[in-house]
Amino acid sequence: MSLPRVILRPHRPEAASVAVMGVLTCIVAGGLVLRLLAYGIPAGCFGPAGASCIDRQHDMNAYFDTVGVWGFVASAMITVLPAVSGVLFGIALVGKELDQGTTTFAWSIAPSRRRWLLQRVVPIGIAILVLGLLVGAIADVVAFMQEPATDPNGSLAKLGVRGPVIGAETIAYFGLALLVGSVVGRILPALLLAIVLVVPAFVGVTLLTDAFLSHETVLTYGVDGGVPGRVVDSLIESPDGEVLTWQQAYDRYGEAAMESVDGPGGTFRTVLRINPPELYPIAVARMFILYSALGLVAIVLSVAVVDRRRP
Amino acid sequence: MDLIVTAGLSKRYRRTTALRDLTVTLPAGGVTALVGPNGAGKSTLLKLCVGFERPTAGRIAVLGIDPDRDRAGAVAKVGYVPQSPSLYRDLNANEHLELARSIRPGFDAAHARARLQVLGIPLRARPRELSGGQQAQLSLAVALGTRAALLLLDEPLANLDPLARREFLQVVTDEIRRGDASAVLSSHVISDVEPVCDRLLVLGEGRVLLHDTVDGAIAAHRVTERTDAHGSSLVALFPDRYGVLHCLVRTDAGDTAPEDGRTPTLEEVVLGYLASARGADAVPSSPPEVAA
Repeated sequence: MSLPRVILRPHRPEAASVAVMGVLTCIVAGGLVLRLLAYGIPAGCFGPAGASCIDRQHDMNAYFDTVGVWGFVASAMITVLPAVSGVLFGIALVGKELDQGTTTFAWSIAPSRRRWLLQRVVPIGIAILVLGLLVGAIADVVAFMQEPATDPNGSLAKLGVRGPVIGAETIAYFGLALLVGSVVGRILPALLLAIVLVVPAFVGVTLLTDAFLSHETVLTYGVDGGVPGRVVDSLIESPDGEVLTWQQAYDRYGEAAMESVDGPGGTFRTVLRINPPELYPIAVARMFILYSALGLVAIVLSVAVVDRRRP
Repeated sequence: MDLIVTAGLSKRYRRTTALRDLTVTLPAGGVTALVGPNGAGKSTLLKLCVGFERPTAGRIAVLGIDPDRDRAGAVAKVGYVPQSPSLYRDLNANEHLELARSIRPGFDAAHARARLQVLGIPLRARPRELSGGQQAQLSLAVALGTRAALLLLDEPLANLDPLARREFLQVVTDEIRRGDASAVLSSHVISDVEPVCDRLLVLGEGRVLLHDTVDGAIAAHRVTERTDAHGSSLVALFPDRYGVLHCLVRTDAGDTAPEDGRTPTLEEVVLGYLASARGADAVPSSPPEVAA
């Protein structure tokens, strides 16, 4: 009899729930991708040369209708899955055992509660990390299919809800739920509190990432949608090369300035403040580190709580 | 080495005091019955021994180790059976042993398995498929598998039928007589533990009321039917099951020791000390009927 089996068996309901949800997510996302591929629309039709694909207009409309409906469903499931798997397993490992009294059995035998906890946290943590990474990879494919005209990596689109970040996100929610379960020791209150904490964790990391990105911009000429990268702000360049906000330009030069922007012979030009496309891997790595750090800190705190609390 | 040594040990919860300034030394060997009514502090004392609770004041040492400072060291030396079996409902008996082996270095799963097989407890059965007695036996088998020098048994008989109680106690005594282990067995029913215990520690309202060997406790007391006994020899008046008052007195109390009376049963000794802890509450307000 293998040790993982003995360790995982008490958590079969959680494993089954996550497995069912994971399979459903894969079916919906995979089905969406296959359906979109089945339209057989050449990639060039989605780009600037799209006008030459006028005969495929009907298929393209159907393509975007499908994206509109099933893309939303798939994205929602992909967003929820890491939270569900992290929270369910996080609560199960300590909170549920405290609630059901099995910690009395385990902790009276185990000289080291740390060893007892890590014996569970490590394999389950690795399993849900792998699940999160898999879901993140699927989310990447879905994002590319949803926005075929642009490179989602280059535009930093859906940052944090696709790619390897989802794996780290799962660990963060797992750690938070583990900590809440260790402190509260009751399934339902811990579950509710963990769900409540997931939201500020997600918002906090997103805001922190945005704060970093807002200082990592470059200026480029062009219009929104016409340049690679993530547009942070749209500005205006005056004839003497000064970059102003639109309000500043209006106040200083009046309505005439607005009318001659980017026009033939115009002296004012639109300038975009963007995060360059090369920033994508850095932004992803940063989010991955933030979520992982959050999760690891919560796990370390859980170990400390388990070490001190009564069963 | 002494099993348990406490000095000024107190444990206070928010509104209640479970143990008050408890100073006692339990020597190694045999079975010590930890007796007292509900709320006497028996479970708290055992939980302090295994590091599940921390003392509010005073100190405790289990086989020379302070569980508050070195819980791992203390847990490594004890096998604990809780009041109600806290088994995993999704694991069968054999899987409980495997789990124990994974978290307890040196756990003797074969020994525990052998105990279960002797008792005819199916290894593939989950707790819900086992009777209360079998669940208690499974908990005991796990505790025995630890090969600990000290078994702490926290009212394991409370929910068992008479036959299951007897079987449980038989396993405990077999193990103690066979090996070097000692046991502390708590109960609020003295008749349950009387056949197997060598020593007696009576707790009442968080204090030690009596600590002696069983033989010593019986020899040191007499029961008289004279309810006017007084002086330092008087332990307490206590009613028997019919409400008849008896008087427990000490025979080693010097000049006030009575010469009449009979040898008490262990239950009467315990009842007398429990009545002494309750003071006047133990004596009925109506005029007592003196035993013939």
